[in-house]
Amino acid sequence: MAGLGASRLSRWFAAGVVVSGIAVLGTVAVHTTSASTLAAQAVQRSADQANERLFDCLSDRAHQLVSPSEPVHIRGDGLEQVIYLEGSIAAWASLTPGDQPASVTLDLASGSGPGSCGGFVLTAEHTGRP
Amino acid sequence: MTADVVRTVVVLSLAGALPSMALAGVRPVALAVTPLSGAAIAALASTCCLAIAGDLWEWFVVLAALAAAAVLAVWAVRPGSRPWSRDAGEWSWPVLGGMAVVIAVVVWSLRGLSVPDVGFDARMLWVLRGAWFVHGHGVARGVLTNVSYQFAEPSFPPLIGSAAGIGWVANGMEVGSAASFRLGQIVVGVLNGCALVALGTAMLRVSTSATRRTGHVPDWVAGVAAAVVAALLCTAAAGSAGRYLTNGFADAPWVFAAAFAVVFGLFLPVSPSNLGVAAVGVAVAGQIKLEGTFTAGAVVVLLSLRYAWAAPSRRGRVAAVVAGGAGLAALAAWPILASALHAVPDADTTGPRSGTIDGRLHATVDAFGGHLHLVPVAAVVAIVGALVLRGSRRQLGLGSDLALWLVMACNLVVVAGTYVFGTTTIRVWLGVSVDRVVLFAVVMALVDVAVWSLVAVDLLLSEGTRVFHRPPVPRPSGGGTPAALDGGRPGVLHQPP
Repeated sequence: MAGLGASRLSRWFAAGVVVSGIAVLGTVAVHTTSASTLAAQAVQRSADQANERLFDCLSDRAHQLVSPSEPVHIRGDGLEQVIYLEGSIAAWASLTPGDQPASVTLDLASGSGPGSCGGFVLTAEHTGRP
Repeated sequence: MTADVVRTVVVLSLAGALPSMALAGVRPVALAVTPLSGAAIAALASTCCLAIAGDLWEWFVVLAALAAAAVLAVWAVRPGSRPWSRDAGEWSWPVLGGMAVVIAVVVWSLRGLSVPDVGFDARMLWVLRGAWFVHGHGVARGVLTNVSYQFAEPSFPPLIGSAAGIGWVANGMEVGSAASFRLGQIVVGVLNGCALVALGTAMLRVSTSATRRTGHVPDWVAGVAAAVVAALLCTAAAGSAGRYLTNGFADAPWVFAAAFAVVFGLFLPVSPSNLGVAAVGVAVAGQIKLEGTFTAGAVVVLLSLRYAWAAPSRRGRVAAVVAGGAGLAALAAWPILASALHAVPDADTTGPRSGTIDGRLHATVDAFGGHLHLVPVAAVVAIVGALVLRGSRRQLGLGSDLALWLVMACNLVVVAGTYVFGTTTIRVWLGVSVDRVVLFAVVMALVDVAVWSLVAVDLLLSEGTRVFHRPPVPRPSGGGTPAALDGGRPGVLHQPP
């Protein structure tokens, strides 16, 4: 009887583990896929999509201003602009440290008009150096 | 874009097919780990590109051919190592049905891939680095030491960018174009999906007809129970990753790869095929992010110890230790190479430190506490399981979950240590990253809960029969029914068989 009692106790504990396990997994699954969670993610997604549009626009514009083999310096009104420019062209341009010569300096500044990207204007200043 | 994705996955799978078959065996999980093996080969190709010469594609072709030739040679020389002779009977209907459920759940979880969503870090770090290796050795070496690229952390491991880069070359894409980053986002998502399917399939193997106790319950009932738990685990793990599952970030791929490595290598019964799947998981997890490299190293150490302990001979034990050492050396290859080539240092861990160590520690502990609610819950389940279900777990041939907790602790210490001894402003750093760097601990907690649930299910499904068949215990004196009144001689009343 003692063995059978212990076994019944084990079964109760096992049932408890199953129920609590399913409850934990189910709760996490439901919570992380709930409408409110997905809505919060959608807000972040929209921000990243706007960034991507800016990156791609700047990349296209920079392609018109410099060739991939040209050593390039980059400049911006602030850190934000520099980061946008880095992310836009780092896959194909030849970024050069500031203490080394570059033939072109790309400058990103706030502005609008033809050729602007998301409120920024990209211009190239050719230094003539290699 | 669909054709580009298919072509990329096919190319990665072609490279990974034979190594996966050799390592994982001819069984359903091999389908999931094949593209991951191809991605691991791509990462190794980037390492060779950086270290020696050539470009990503050249090394990828060479390494894939070498791997295939090595596998065929081993199969020719040692027929006993051919997986179809060792993995017969793995394609059971419960496993296939369960895998179909897992795949359906994972595909649903990846629905975010239907829209362009390249995360900021994917653009600035992870997918971007593939461009350098596609351009070749000269560019890759130049970028590594160029402070202008410090924002992209050139010293970080290469797998994500390498897998994307293979896709760019295979599809003739312009590197750095919008389409190339979109392809990178989807390729990372597909790798996440493969790793999740492997994790779900691991759950289906926790309780199999080979290890399960005999009972009145048919196999398909246990199969349905395993499929439900596996589907819930995959949904919960994918949900915990959130947007990071589908926006090209590097956190989810290494976490899921390390997770299935833990289950196949440290939980499921000791076997060459389970070890092989774990090896693929470790190779993937270790080449994506540095915390993944450290965590994969911890898994390798525990794998080596477990297989050395289980080895029947001294030779086997030595082999396990040597293999573990080789695994650690392989994982260390990229960090050592980057250091030897004087890579630009990580911007977050160099320079003057913002704040005090004490302040950074408190901020880190607070931030972790806000994201690790699940860990104490899993700990309670693990304690109850260890007290009540230990025998059932052992009977299923499963390893102790102490290994899982050790790996989790190792991961948390490494990540917390990086925050505490790093230099970037701690509040900002935690604010933009803590939710994803604790993902491994969260997934490990989910995995432990899932495995204990399956062990408990096994006990429940077989317990009635087990009690009925309990072997008679002779009692020297006292009450209760004697096992056999005559010591087993015929002609007297015996307990029913």
